[in-house]
Amino acid sequence: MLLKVNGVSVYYGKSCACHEVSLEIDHGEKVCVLGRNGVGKTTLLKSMVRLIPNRGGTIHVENEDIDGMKPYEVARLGIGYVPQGRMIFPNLTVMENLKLGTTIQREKIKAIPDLVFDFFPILKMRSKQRAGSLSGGEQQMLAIGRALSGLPKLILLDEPSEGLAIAIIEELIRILKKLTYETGLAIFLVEQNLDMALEVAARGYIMEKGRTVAQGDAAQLRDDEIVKRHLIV
Amino acid sequence: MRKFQVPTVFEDISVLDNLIIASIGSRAYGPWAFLRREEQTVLNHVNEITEVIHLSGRDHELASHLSHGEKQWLEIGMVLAYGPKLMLLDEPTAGMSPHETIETSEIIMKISRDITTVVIEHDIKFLRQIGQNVTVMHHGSVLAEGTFDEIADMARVKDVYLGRKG
Repeated sequence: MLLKVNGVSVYYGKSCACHEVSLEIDHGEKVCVLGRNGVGKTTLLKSMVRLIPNRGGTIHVENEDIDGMKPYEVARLGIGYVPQGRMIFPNLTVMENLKLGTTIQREKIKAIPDLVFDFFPILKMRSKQRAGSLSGGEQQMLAIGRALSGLPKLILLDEPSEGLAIAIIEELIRILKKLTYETGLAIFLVEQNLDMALEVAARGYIMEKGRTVAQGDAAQLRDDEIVKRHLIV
Repeated sequence: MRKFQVPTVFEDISVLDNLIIASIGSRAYGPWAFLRREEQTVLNHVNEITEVIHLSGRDHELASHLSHGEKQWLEIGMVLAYGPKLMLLDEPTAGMSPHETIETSEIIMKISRDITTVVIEHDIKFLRQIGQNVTVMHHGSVLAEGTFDEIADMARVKDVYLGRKG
């Protein structure tokens, strides 16, 4: 198993944001987590890269317990993180943003991998431009490119469709599918956009109030009854 | 009166003392009740409140010993002690267990018989239990209003919940 989350709980003070969540992602898999606003999806993702500590439970990356690790150490194990709201560095150029992504590579000479520009040619065209001047969709692509620059085995995407026009979302879906198909990269996607999530992911989990309440393959999660019970009003 | 998403009770004093402090300045009997030796009035009032917020018999426990959910109830109690006409609750069930969430809906239902109550919540199960009028907001404006069942039936509400904003 590439990444294994076992019984993980996360608290903000005494307030429980994630309760005994368990899930797995294997090499090359495409997995999503669905859920309404405020059910703990982002919290779960942040705990998976050690940006917030979990209280109880374990997280393993290829059988290595990441307890006590720093976020950059988790990144070095091959886990790329694309945060909600992109969080690119607006005052640096596109190229500088990507170079920052390479800093966790183990090799002495660190280079932006070719696949970044192969899959996101727009980043090459915009390489000298201030990242803050990019459109929302381009910033999302930059955030993914920056994660890819660390040569990950798995990337965690937190609501990549947020704030993007439908045409841009479709473009993003196409690129992500091609990327996983051609490189064997695993994807773990947290989304509120049901259609995008189930288009990209082969299977997934649904969260409600900090707990996983359903899981299955994409077709099962599309089921009207499940959608009605856990995702809509 | 409003309460906040993260409970802000006085941790180092008892449940009872938290409620007494909150009732100083209460609209019900004003800040001078203690000076006028109307302690019993205040205590009766506070005891009624502990019952409403499912904390009766726990009066002398330190607030810091309460669970996250119980602290939220205590804070609701502190708002009640003030004697408000309108109560605004910001995500009262955030971080609660499913059982605590059900109890919270019972508490709020009881309160709302006497006091107009506005609740902001993500938790759909909770809203279903409360079963009152719902206003759905999206990107800073009102998307829909109606009973819970009406809201649940609206296509535009479904679309927003499934991220199909169009």
